[in-house]
Amino acid sequence: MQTELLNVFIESASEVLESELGVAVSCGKVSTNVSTYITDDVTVLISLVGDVSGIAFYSMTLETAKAFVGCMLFQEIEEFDDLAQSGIGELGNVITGQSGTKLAEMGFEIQISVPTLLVGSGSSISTLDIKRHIVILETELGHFRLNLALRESATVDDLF
Amino acid sequence: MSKELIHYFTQSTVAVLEMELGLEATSGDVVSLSSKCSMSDVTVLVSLVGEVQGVVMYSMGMDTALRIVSELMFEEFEEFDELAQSGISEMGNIFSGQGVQLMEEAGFQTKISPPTLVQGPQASISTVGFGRYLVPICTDYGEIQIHLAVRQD
Repeated sequence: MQTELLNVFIESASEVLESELGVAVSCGKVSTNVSTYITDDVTVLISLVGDVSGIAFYSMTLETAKAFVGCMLFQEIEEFDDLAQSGIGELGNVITGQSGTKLAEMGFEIQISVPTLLVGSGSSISTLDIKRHIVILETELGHFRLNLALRESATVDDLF
Repeated sequence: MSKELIHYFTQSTVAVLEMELGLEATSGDVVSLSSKCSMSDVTVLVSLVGEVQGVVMYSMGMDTALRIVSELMFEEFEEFDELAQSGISEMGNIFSGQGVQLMEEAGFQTKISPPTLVQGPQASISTVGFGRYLVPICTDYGEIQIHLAVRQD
């Protein structure tokens, strides 16, 4: 199940990065079962609620974030200001939204939250009892790290 | 919107602190913040989805987190280990669950996500374009800040 969920997010992230940024994406190393994560410069957090719940977060260096937003907005980004933050938040939103659509096709109804942005490296994010999977997506503009910590919500059938 | 709704979370937080921990808790004035701001040592983040969307966060110093979790779990914590992290997160989950229940009674259908814990004051958290409000909750164990950044769908 975890692999299927992860694949949905890898597929969506690759599609969105390719179409929004016009870059080639290759899927790098997959690490599983990590629970604490030390932040990169920029992390977009989006929660999922429904048949599958948890959190997806996307992290990258400041340089990569600026290059991504520059590509999306067709302009050079020098400062990671409100506009740039909102651009990178939106990128996370589109990837998660697209994953949500695919999950719905697989029979999982979910709602996604608005993006929250963590700026500054060296903090740690813990998803507690929900184990995380990390995939590095490589692009010519830099690495895009996809972190997924999801669990299937218990149904009445599971409880009895 | 955040300004009108934050009192639901203030109310639930004060009630839970008093009932679960027997702590005397008083809430301060609502403060308006910019959408990006730095946090204390320990922050529990819970997203809201539904008619009201956004995020609620509970931020506190390490000392406060350790004292609260010691009280909650009936054992002395000196280190903020996994058990302590899980205890503080669960508390954020309860604050939010009760807050959302109060909102539901007032006619807003909203669900909450599982809690995520952010540690370390190095990072600042931005709610990207959402107005954000803070209420400080004073307890004998130190201050807990409630941040709310939501909009009505």
